[in-house]
Amino acid sequence: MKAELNATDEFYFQWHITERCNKHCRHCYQNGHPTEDLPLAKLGLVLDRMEEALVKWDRQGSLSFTGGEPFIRRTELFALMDRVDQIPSFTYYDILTNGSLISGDIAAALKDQRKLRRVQVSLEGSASAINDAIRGDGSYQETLDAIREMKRRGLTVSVMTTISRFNYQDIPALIEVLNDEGVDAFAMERLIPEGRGESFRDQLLSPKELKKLYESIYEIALQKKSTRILLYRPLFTLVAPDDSSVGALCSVGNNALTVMPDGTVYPCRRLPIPIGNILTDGLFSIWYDSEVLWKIRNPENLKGKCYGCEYLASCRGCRAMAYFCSGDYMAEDPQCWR
Amino acid sequence: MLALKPGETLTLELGIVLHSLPGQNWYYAFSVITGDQFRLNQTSFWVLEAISKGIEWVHLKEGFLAAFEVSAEQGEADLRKLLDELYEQKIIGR
Repeated sequence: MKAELNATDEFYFQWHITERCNKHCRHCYQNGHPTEDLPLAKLGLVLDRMEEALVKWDRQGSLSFTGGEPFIRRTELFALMDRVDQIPSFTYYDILTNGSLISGDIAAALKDQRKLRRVQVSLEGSASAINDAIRGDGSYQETLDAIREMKRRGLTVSVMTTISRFNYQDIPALIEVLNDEGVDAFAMERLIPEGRGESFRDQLLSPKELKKLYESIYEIALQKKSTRILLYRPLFTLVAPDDSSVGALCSVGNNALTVMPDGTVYPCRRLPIPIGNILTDGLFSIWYDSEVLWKIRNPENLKGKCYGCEYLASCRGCRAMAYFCSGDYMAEDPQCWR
Repeated sequence: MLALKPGETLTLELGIVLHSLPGQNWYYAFSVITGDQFRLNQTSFWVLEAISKGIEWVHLKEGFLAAFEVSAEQGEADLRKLLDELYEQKIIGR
């Protein structure tokens, strides 16, 4: 079991090593026009920049390798994991994948990666009818097969679901499936109407629907079944303000950055505003001098019901949701039910 | 101690940027080259902001005395001490 990090000591990188994907999910935040991949040597330089920053800031690093579908670059992915295994500044890494390319052999190879904390796969519902309508025919079974291959080999597996009107009523049933499959953790992200997901905009939950869902998920989480339900997302704090395991300040501008396949850096993958390039600008310039990050860091810049909210210490809403619903990333979170 | 002539200007060292969130009582100088970060008090931040605008020493001194309402003698001594520290830490140069 790899250590969990205290947020104040941690710095998190979400690293999209490719935007190429073997799926074409209806809600994806990509726009279907992948940028060019960097060769392995350049990926190594990206890792050097990350390590340099972690050492200077005296932070413990965590990293998610993702895509696109990261196993499309299987050779590079394993080479990078081998390297991160040797870098003291990184405590652990995860892989975020659709799971479709994880065979028994790959699952066995993953088991040998020293700092791999968990593999996150995506499922959109408790049955193929819901999942495959979003992720494509056969996806549900492929993902379940991947979960079983990985669990058989003792890997830690989590499932992430993008919630929308299309699937939110099915989430309790999905959690039951995950318990039955021995999945270790379950997380949800709200559908953001960006990329291909833009055409899915009518499936955004209303504030009332989201409140109902979050309350029901919290009730399930309290039952503490085998699948741990991860509740540290903006707005969750409204459900149980006195429960410190619920809700979390968004990491944008605080302790996280997203790196794209060509080195472009975003505040978050869901907030795709370029704030520099890790190879040409370096992380110090981006982190210390990005106008976007400084605007987000200052709660005085929040607008609407987010401005002056009594929950500012544990929730400032989702800036990406604000951006894609209003064009202003400092606007109020349109799904907040307060 | 830095010997300063009336018309002389100091500069921020190459790569130093200043940022503040006054509502949070956050005042910082950062080096985008070395990655060093310096937490400042409001006074130091005021001085660095003035230096970043290319102010001459004589005007910096006048502005400092007016802004912080200290006696001329004590104010100049405090300002010189502060500038020495900023210079030693390679936040400012000349």
